[in-house]
Amino acid sequence: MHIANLRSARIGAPLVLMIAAGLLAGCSTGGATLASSWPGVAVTDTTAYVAYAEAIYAVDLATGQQRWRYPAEADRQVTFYAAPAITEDGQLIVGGYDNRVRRLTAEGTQVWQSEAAGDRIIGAPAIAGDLVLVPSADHTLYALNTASGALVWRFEAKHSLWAAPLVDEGHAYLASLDHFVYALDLADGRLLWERDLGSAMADTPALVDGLLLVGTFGAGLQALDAATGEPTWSLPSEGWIWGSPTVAGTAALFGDVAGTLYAVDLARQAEVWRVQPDGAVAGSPAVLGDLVYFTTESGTVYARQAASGAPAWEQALTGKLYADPLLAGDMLLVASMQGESLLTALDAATGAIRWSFTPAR
Amino acid sequence: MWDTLILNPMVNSLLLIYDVLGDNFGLAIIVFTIIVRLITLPLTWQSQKSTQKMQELQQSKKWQDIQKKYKDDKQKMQEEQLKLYKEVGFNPLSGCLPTLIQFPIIIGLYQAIMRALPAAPVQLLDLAKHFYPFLPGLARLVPLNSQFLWMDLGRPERLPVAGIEIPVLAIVVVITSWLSTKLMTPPSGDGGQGAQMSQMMGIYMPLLLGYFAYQYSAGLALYFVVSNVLQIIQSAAMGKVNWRQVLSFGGPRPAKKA
Repeated sequence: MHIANLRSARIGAPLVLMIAAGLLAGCSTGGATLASSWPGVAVTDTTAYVAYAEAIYAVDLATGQQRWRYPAEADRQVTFYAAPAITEDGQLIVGGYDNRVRRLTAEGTQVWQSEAAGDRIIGAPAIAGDLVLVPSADHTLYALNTASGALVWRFEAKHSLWAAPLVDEGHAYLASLDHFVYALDLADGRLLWERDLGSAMADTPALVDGLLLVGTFGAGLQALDAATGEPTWSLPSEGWIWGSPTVAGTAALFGDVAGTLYAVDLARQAEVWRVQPDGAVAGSPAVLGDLVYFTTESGTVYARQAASGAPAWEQALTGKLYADPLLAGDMLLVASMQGESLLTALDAATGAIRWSFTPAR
Repeated sequence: MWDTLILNPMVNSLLLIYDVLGDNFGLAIIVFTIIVRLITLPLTWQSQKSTQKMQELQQSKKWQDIQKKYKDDKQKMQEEQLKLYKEVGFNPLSGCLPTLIQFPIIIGLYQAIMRALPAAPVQLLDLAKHFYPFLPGLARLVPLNSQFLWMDLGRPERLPVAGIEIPVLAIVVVITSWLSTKLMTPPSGDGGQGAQMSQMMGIYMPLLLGYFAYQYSAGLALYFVVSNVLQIIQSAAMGKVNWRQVLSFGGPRPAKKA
């Protein structure tokens, strides 16, 4: 490639290095084998579990100290980004980028592992009674027995599944990159209905009063009848909607990657307010009392009045805050990608930092 | 700056081509590479012309005389060579500049190809930022259909034959890179540093590209193959291909006098 040109100029060596550097730059930022995502977080009464890259960290909510990590020793072949699912008895079910699903005790000991999936587990598993539903990038949703990890049924979509399914009263609702929303019978994985929305979806739908709300890449917020999949109404957005909408009272709140947070009145099916924070909003907002919390790619945590969008407080952290902020009692937990700390606990009322957790190297 | 000038136009045009070609990303890569090469043709043409002129100059009697006369005084030799350049009105940088201008375009081209096939959330989120808002229809193309022939363009390519996974595309990349280098190696009597460098590049470059093709996604490998084939065609069209070199496994052979 272009060798003759290089030779003529007699400056071959530096240019070869440039090509190599360029190639590497191209590959490392976009290469398919370099899979990466932001941290996935789950929380119990006492512990936050953060899945990020080489490990799952169990962090004590009271102190911010690490209780354990899994695996104890880093293994480059095993990485985790999907938020763990918590079973009724407080154990964890985690999906890895090594295609495996594992059940861990609350002390971080492996109970079982499943090799049913043929590709990475990017979306979080969801517990549904004695089943755990695991979305895989191999286009398939796997229903495993939570006690044994045995495969109970599987459902094949048309493209990668990156989102946890929503489980409700014997049904599982699944939004997929293939532009379809699927409703499945939980008992056997039978397809009840499917709906082509014409745009990809990367996160879980929200359900309110028989209405499924789902954010799309290019078709705004879509509302479907949960019984039939019939589109009811939609609302355009400036950019792609990645995170699930959060329902608070009669409003739905969601952000887009163009950097806008929207509040929509569900009864009137109209926008109530919008704000433009300092960057893309990829996570789902969290709501506690009157306040709505959301985070941006630029590293800022925002608290606003849910009713009006009026500012309550802001806190600047480091790294990219793509992960959903989570509430744990009166604390807001924020996980950062490439930040100084992996997990930060903020006072939900004031935004003051209670503690920060950084994994030991 | 990089995104505005290079990457965004490329990502959006690549997706437009993909849309026009009926959601075939393999064909889109081929057509897009051809278009970009056509646009940069004046640049490559100029640098190849310059190469040719340089080679002619190096084979001239005056050049050879300077080489002999000042073989023990490198500095003096360079001075004399510069004088000769001036005399014949040749700018040694005239081949270098068009080559340098091509690099951002080449790098942008495969960055665009790689970005269009995101395999994980961070990459897809990154892709979202490269779409032009005035082309809202493009977002609906996501995720792209990455199947092309037997390949998934977003993954390293392997063709299972009798239970063995063969990296066909990586092999084709090595062969075409080697061919394009070999075919364009000029007959040169100069056994010095330049010729050695050419020889090294002729070996390492195909291996390096082959390694990338083996390790990274098939979309990138497909781009390498198309780019190499176009390079060979372009050189052939300019009458620059030296078919005899293909059979030569040593360094460049001395030119035979006609």
